Amino acid sequence: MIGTESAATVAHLLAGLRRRQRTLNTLRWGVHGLLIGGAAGCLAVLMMWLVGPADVPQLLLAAALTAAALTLAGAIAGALMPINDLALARALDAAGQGKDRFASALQLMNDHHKDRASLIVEDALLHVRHTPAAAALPLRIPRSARWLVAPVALLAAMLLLLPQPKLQAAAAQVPEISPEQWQQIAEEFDKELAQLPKPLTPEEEELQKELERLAELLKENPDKRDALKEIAKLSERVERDRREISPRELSLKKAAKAMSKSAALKQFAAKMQQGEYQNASEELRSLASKLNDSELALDAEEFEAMAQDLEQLAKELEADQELEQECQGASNAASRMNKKELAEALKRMADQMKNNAGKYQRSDNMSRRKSMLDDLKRRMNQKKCEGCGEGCSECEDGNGFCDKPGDKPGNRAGRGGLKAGWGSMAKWDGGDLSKNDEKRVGEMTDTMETQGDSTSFQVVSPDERARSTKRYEELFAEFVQLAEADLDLDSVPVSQREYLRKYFKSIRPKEPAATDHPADPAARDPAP
Amino acid sequence: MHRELSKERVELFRRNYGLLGEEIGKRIVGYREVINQVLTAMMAGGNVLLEGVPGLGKTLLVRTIGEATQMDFQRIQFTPDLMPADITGTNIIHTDDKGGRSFRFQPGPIFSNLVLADEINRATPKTQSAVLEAMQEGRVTVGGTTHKLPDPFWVLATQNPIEMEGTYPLPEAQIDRFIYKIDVRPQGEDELLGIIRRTTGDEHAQLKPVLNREQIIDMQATVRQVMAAEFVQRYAARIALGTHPHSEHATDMTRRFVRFGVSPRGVQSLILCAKVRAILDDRYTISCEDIREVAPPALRHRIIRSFEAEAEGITSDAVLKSLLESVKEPAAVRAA
Repeated sequence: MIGTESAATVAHLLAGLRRRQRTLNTLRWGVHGLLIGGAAGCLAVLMMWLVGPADVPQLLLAAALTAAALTLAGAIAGALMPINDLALARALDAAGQGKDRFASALQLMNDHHKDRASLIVEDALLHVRHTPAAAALPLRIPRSARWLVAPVALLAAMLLLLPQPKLQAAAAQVPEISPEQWQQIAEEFDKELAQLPKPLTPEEEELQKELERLAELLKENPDKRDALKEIAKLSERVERDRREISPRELSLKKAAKAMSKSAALKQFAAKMQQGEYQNASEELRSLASKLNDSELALDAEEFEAMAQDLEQLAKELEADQELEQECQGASNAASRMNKKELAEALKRMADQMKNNAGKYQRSDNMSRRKSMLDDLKRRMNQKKCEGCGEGCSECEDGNGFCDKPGDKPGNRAGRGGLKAGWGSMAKWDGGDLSKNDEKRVGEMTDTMETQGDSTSFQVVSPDERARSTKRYEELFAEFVQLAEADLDLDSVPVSQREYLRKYFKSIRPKEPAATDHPADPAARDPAP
Repeated sequence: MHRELSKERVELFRRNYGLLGEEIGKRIVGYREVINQVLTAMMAGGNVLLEGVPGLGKTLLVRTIGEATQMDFQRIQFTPDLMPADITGTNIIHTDDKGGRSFRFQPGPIFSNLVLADEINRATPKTQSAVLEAMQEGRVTVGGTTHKLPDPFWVLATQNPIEMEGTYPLPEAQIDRFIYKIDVRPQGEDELLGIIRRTTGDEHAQLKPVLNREQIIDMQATVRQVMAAEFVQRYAARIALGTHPHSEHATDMTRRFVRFGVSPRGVQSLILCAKVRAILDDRYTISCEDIREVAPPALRHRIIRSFEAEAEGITSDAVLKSLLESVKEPAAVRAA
């Protein structure tokens, strides 16, 4: 038998070689596994693509998981592979120029010729003792590794070519509003446009022309974004014109609805609700005359009813302080049951209304146009009902739009509704959330803000005081128009729409004070 | 009883081998590889067949080895009329001093340590077979009596491959008994100049015996002590089997051009000659590379080619080359 020390040295050398070989096997089979995993990942991506739509991150994740799993399996298989000591010894001989000394020693060390065996082992150790295991078993990239590029390229090609028609075409190719829907929208808008009262001022005429241009645009099946942008621009214009008429929203039609108790004021209220302010003024004047001439006998209850109606009307007329004061005066007179004072107050109120009838009319016109634009925008944001499953009237008559608010399970149809604001909240009326809506709220609150595409520019003024040459209100209006056009696109999450609207609300320019002069540079607001 | 294998014995072997080679080199110009192969075969205890055209120095080489080894040397010129008894010897009538007559064995030239069988293929098969027992068994039987040949005993035969008329090619059984068949080829220009200088002047190299009989027997014993690991033996066996057309290790060339493969003697020859090479390389074990080195001279004469091979000029060496390239070593180191 060979000496103990020599035997230990042989065992030590072999142990080092075995460790090295096991590591190499692990790496080599890991690479094989990665190669097979890459191919399997491509197959998995292909199958996922064939089975149903999946986005690119999902496909990538599936491919990566498949490749990683098979790589791990390959590495484990490599680590568990049996190791041939003779092959290790021959590798050591090859590295140490041993000419099969160590391999022979390994096989002959237990030969019955003990002296020869010992001589052979000593000679072998003399030649290979200092040969490192790394030299005997160098780390080489397996030949199969050159094929690794194949599954990667295949996967990239599949992600670039295959998913596009299936996954991205839905957003890119299918328009949100079909030509049939555009036609229906344009027809309805045309009808509403025809029902608008004739323009009273050159500004209104110009606005009317722009609305007609919008109607033409709608007939051309435009991009939804362009249409929304145009609507936002017109809405801003209408709002600006309305503010020029009255800084605060002035709607006598709406205010007239507050009068419902007094029989004497019934005709007056009706005329106001119809927007016939001249006639309403005449009604008041007639009522005042009847009171003066004692043609109209009013009892206490009627006085009380008139006082309450006029009181309510005065509250609704905050936008027109003069008319409000007259109305309040009339209410006071009615409450005192003083016919004469009431007649005088009603007469003054009639004069005031007669003088401002044109203004009220214009304000109503603006409100109607604004309402018409809002309806148009809402209609564009409606989805065709694909069967909400709740038995809505549209499901039954099939006219194309669902008037059920909120998201419908399964088909995403019915978002939006006939009332403005529906569809932008999980539950518009504060009621209990449906199961589907609850999920949606969770997504809304967890939405992460990420950096998206943005455009920034700097307005540089030639003015030495470095003031902007553009009014903040104008700049704000431009931004709001651009934002509004995008906010109603499907691609913008609902939560983000609300978030952006809050932002624009926070930077909205203050209402100009009565003393402000637009031409005064000092009055220009700096950018927020 | 010889001493056990040791570093000193290996060193001694190498030194004696070197001395013998140097001494032979004093007379033989060039032919280093041929000399090495002849000496290797001798140290392995085998007989050698030297094949080459006349005038290349085959006979001179064998004669020189005989002179340098201080051993009995006999040259037998084989001719068609040579009889077996001319080689082995015969019983002759012997008359003693008292006039009594008796048969007495007169040993032939084969009773020598080193026998040069010159142009062995010119003798008849009957005569050739007389050498058969001597080569294999180391003894001859004459008149019912077996006579042991001296130890060591070598037959170094030569044959001329071109003058085939009137010759008797050696049968397979006999040719298999040569451990090596060495092709002696014409030498180059420089070697010829050396031959001219040494042989055409009035000076002749004087050789002295550098090894005696006992030393050579000891060297042969040392060779036998060299060990062969199982994987090397397996490699040699695969090569030998690969020469058989129907073996799993056979190559396409073997299947097409070989009629019969080598006998077990071929494997023995491989291992023994590889052991000599291992000692000369200061090793105590043989390697797969040794097997590859000795395979051509040890196996080429044992491969019986097919008619197709002879027709197409495919040599045994070509078959062996393809075989050595294709047979896999056991537990070979694979490239990743």
